[in-house]
Amino acid sequence: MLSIIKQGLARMWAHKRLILFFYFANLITAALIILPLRAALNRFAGHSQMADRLRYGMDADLLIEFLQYSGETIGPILLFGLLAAILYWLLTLYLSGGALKLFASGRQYDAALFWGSAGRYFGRFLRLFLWSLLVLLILLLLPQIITLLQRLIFGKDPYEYITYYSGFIRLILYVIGVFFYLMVFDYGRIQIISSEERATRKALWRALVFIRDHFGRVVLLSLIFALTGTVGFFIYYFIADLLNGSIALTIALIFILQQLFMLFRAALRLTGFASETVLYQKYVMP
Amino acid sequence: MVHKSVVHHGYLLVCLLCLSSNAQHMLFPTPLSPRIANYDIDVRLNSEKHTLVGAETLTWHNTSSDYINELQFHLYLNAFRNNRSSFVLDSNRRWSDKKYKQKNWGYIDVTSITTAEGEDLAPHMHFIQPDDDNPEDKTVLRVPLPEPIAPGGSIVLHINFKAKLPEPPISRNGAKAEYAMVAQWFPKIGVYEHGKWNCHQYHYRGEFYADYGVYNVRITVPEKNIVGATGIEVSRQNNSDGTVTHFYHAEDVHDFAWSTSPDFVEFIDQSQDVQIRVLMQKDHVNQSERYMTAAKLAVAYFQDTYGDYPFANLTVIDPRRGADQSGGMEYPTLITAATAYGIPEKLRLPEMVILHEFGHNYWYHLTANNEYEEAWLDEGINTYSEIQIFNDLYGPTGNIIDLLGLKISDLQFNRMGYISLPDRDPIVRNAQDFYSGGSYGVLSYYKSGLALTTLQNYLGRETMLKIMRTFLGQWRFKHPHTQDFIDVANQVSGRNLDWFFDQVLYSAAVLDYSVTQISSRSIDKKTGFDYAYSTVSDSALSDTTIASVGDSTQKSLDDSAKTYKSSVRVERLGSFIFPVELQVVFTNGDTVRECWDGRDEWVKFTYVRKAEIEFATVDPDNKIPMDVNLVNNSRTRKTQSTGINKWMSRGLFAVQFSLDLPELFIAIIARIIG
Repeated sequence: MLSIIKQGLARMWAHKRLILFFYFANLITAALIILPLRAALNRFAGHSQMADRLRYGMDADLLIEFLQYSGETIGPILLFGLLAAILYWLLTLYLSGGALKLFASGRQYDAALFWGSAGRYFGRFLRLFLWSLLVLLILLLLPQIITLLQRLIFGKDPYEYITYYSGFIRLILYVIGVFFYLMVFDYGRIQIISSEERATRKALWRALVFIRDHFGRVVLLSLIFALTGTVGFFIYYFIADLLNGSIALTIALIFILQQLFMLFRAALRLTGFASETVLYQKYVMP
Repeated sequence: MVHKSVVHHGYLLVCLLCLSSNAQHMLFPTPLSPRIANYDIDVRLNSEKHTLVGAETLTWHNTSSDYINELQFHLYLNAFRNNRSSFVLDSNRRWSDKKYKQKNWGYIDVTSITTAEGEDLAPHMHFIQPDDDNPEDKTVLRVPLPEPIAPGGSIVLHINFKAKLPEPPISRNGAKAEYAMVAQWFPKIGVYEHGKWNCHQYHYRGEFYADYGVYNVRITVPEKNIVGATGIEVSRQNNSDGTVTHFYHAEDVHDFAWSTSPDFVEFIDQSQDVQIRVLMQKDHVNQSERYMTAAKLAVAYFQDTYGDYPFANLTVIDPRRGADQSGGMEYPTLITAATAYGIPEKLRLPEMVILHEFGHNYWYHLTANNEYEEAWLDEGINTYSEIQIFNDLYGPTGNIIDLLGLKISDLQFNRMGYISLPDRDPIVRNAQDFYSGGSYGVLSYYKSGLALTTLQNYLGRETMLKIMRTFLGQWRFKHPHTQDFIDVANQVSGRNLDWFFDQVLYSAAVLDYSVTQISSRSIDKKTGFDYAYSTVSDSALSDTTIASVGDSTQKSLDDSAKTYKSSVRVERLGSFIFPVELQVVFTNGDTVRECWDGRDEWVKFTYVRKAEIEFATVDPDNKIPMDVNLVNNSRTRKTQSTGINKWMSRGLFAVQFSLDLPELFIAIIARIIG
């Protein structure tokens, strides 16, 4: 497994400029959502002493009044945010075609290959996504087994702690389901690229078969990346907590730290793509 | 204090005395209240069908100077009888046919009503609808009398009734499986005052009004059931049919409620001279300490702050799951709480409910105002008390919510509701006449509480405390009205506060003062032909400056520095007039305080100084929580972008992180759907 990750890391590093593509796509989308919100807050409270209190922590009065008196501004911003999130998802789906092709080909960065592949596979990835929703639906229905079990064991009127803890278990199952779904979607895309498959249903099926046949390795690889991301977050959080302050310098430092963390996330994501590609190629196309 | 010493030993004393059910029980040697409406009730609960069968003996005294020809009774449970009752119609979509199957509706029927002499009054009794003429509403029963009751006279009536509790509980009472919260459950006489009956129908909005009296209530329930009720339990009798009759006795109360469940877990403790009994649901037992602590704090705080709680005990009922509507209500010596499993300790909602509901044992049970006509008199005053108690017991910030870096105090919690709908109605009006349920709640609770907090900040805490104590002292066990509170406030404060109460209570005026403009511009040295040989003008200017700003700034005047003419414009954006203070801070640190009576539409303050204005703030000490917009209270010379940038950078990161974690979104959406 370590050698797969090493190879994945090497392939990602060979195309390190992709990190910037993914990072800037993320940053620009988030900025498009946040900047109008910042402008609205600035317009509402920029010349108020209450805005100064924000340096020390969230001020409930300011928050309450901002939500109350800027509702007409915040509503469209949130709607736009939702739209931007969907567009971002489509953009990363588009970019993933180029990235996966580069990782699968093992070639040096080639702009024509990257952008050409991004466009070439986008339609197939979109179809794959629509088919994969069936898998997602099944996975999301699985936690309902807990609801049924709860009904069978405790009846229609269980104690509150039963519903409370069964809710937790359902949530964990949802997370596991989504984790599994993302693996299926990743290997489906890799399958399309590796075999130039046009029938996305077949690609989805083969991805499922691949995951079944190499379940331990596939899950272990995804878990390693998920855990690395989690550890990275805690390290970020620890440092950010130390830096927490009310002056412009500490605020700027935290901003830089946040962006470094997001660069790390983008690199991790791409390393994940590359490692999954290596794993797939190792066992399907030895 | 005499009463209390008796009460402490009352339980044992009464137990000894009540060897027979006809024994006379006495908690207070001297009645605390007029004891106009007195009830002896035998009631039996069918815990499976949720029905009640009751026999009531009412002894009612005519304390008016009128001859009374008729009596009027509340039959509150009939509000849940059908989908045409005024309660259901008032509630719009909240109670619908779909929600309640035939077996779930509640009702009460008077099966017989006779005088002590045996005269049957039932043939002449009929329903009336004094508020809305809705013929389908059966919540007020009129009973004509064969002979009038003379002034000072009394009547004894024997009333048999059967009733069914709504399931699940609606609007304070009802049943859910083995649990029952039995409130507003018996034929209850209205209040005769000002030459007529005050007996409103039961509406979706608004609460109750009743005379004080003595209650002897025998409650028969299955023997496995635990009972909590108004008053003290003086005896328990096991019956041959597997039931137990619990005998409760209460004096000088104006209502009686009880609750029962075999699943209650009982906790008992003491706060000062009051015994506290908490009846928890099994699934909330891990919160029993929170409940008990809050109840103990409430008792101690109210006794220490406002005066004696004359009763020996307090019972706290924890509503069952699925019976949330029976939570958060007050009855004499009994309150219902509200919580949910797993609620974080720093989300003090269970504490808020207990502190608030216990507060009603002062503001409503000791001062029995008409909740339907003047809800603010108990809800508003009680909300004010709640704000104080949270501030004093849990600190001024984050005292109700302190989670994930967000700190919200009870005062802010109330403001949040208040600013959402501050101007649809005056506070004093019948509950059902408000613009909406939201307006009723906002004005009766939030605005009233914030208005009294504003008044406290205006008069000083000591004066306000004297007002509250005097009001409680003068109107204990009586029926105060709004004017009575105003009279006490005027008398105690030694000021005529009508201008304040007129605006707060009888108008929909909104209070909003704002610093709308600050400016500083340098004054050029005088130049030109006229001043070619003179430098005197500059020193003259400095003299002028000194005169206008006072001695404290004289030191800062430096002939070499620039001089600025600065101005601050404060505007009254709402129609509510209130005196305000203004603080002006200059770049050199100098501070000026101004007072303005707030009457004009706007006022402008001008300064000539050696420094520019840094910022200006109206109400700098946050004394006016009634102000609907605190953000516009101040204006700064420079944009305050540091704090905004801090939060926006956090926001940017949160959005970036979320965008990068699609699984998070999917999991949340799936969880919501699931």
